[in-house]
Amino acid sequence: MDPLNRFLSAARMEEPDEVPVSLLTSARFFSHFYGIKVFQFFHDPKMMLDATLHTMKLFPDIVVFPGLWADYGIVVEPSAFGSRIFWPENYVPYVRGDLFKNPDDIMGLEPPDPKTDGLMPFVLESIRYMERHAPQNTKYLYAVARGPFQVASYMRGHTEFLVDLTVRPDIAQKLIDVCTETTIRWLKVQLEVIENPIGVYVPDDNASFLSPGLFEKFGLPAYKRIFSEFDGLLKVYHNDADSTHILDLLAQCGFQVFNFSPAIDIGTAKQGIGQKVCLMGNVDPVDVMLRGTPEQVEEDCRKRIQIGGPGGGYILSLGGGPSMETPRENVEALVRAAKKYGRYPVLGG
Amino acid sequence: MDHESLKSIALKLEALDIQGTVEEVKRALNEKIAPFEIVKNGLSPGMDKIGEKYERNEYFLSELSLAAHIMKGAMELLGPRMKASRERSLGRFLVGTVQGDLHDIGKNLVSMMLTSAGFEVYDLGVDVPDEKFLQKAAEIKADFVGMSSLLTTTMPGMKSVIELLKNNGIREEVKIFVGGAVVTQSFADEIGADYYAKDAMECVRKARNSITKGK
Repeated sequence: MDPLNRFLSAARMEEPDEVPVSLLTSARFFSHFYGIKVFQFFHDPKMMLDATLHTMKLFPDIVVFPGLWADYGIVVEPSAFGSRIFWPENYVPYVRGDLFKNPDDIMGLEPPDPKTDGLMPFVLESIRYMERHAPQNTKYLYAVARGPFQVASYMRGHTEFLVDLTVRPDIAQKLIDVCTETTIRWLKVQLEVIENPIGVYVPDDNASFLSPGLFEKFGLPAYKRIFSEFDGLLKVYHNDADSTHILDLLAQCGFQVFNFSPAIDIGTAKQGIGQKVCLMGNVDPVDVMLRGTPEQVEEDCRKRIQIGGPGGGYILSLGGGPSMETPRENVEALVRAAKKYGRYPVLGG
Repeated sequence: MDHESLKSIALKLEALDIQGTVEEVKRALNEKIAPFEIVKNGLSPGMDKIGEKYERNEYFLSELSLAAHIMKGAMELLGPRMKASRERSLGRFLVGTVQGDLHDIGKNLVSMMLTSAGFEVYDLGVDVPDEKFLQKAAEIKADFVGMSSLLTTTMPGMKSVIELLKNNGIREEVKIFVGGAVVTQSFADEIGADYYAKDAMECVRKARNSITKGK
């Protein structure tokens, strides 16, 4: 089985030949391994493609997820609403959460047009470029859009948005509705451009800042709406904040693969949400991958494989994306651990 | 002071009753209770209960942020009247998220918990240049400097602030606290910070203890 088919088999809740290994990679990671500043990655689609292919080649046994990706960080969706973007030299661009001078302006907010607004058309052009110039065996596979809670927080301000949920639920609901619609439209427009897409990918960490009650009221309906629009495609959700308190609700949202935080006990996840969706995680990107030794990485992976692996539906990965300075030896240790301990049938440890 | 209004403030705050808390604070002021007492024996016990509920997974970040919002409203009433009683504060605590980092939830909670515990808090906000920490620490004669970082790329900023304070001769005048998702005790030791706190509650506990124990 090749790495991608192994990944897709686990995503279908099956047991592949061995536990697949995947890394959630983005502009930072590709730039680091290609030896360029992150800003250079954004400024030229050729550089973006070359850096991505270079990193993929370094780790042929790993499914680099989502693979080819015109990744411009969190700013794409807020830019389409008019947020001001800041571009550091060696980090991803960012926006300040201060788009609305008057919170009541949110009541008149409309979703942007992805074909004309902010950075979205620019991203679409980068997708087209990558599709045209990538080698035959490397396809652009996923449409990617940030989820409504992240986009809302980055436009309104993180703390302000959380307070609105209780103090001004009318404003909060309107913002979530508009952002939900934006996520859907943005994914759909990308899917028109990508020749043979296999899935949609929705990262949205901020949802876990909500209490179970607030998540049930605001989060569950928004996520159900998003994921119900993309039947027939693989639906991957990333949230690397601690979601222990809303795991049962997340299980009802309709995604098939869950990339989750190291703060969540993998045993708890396996017994609960992991019975319904494929678990992708949750090695600690900082304490283990960045600061640990290859031996520590291997040992940590062994434990996770023995808890997450049995019965299938498990992808060995990090609880979030790797730091750009992650040592190459530690990435290689992930693959070694899967080969050593992840051959099916995997028995619980 | 065991006063009915102070108990009510604590209870209303713990219940996250926005209007109720503000009304009780106003009532206490009308009863001529000193603003310092209102914070120390009304808001602070309320915040302690909220912190306990967070640690027991009864409250979450959404509730802590709401508590911060309520505290802010209460402090807007009390703040102007408290300036005169600065000598009664537990110390001047400068906080900020380091340069290049925009995460504010944890830092805001730290500000709020410290305020309610009786510290005089100066919040520099997010994406704070090193020089700003130095300049403000010197200006207010800070007793504590707290830095937050949630990114491995911005963590080194904590070290450079400490060096800057050192080079300008005020490092030994302040107790340095660091925290944030990627920060650990070993990182705090490595860069020469005095304290690491895993969350806002621990920050308050350690800051309180540091006053009695020294560094």
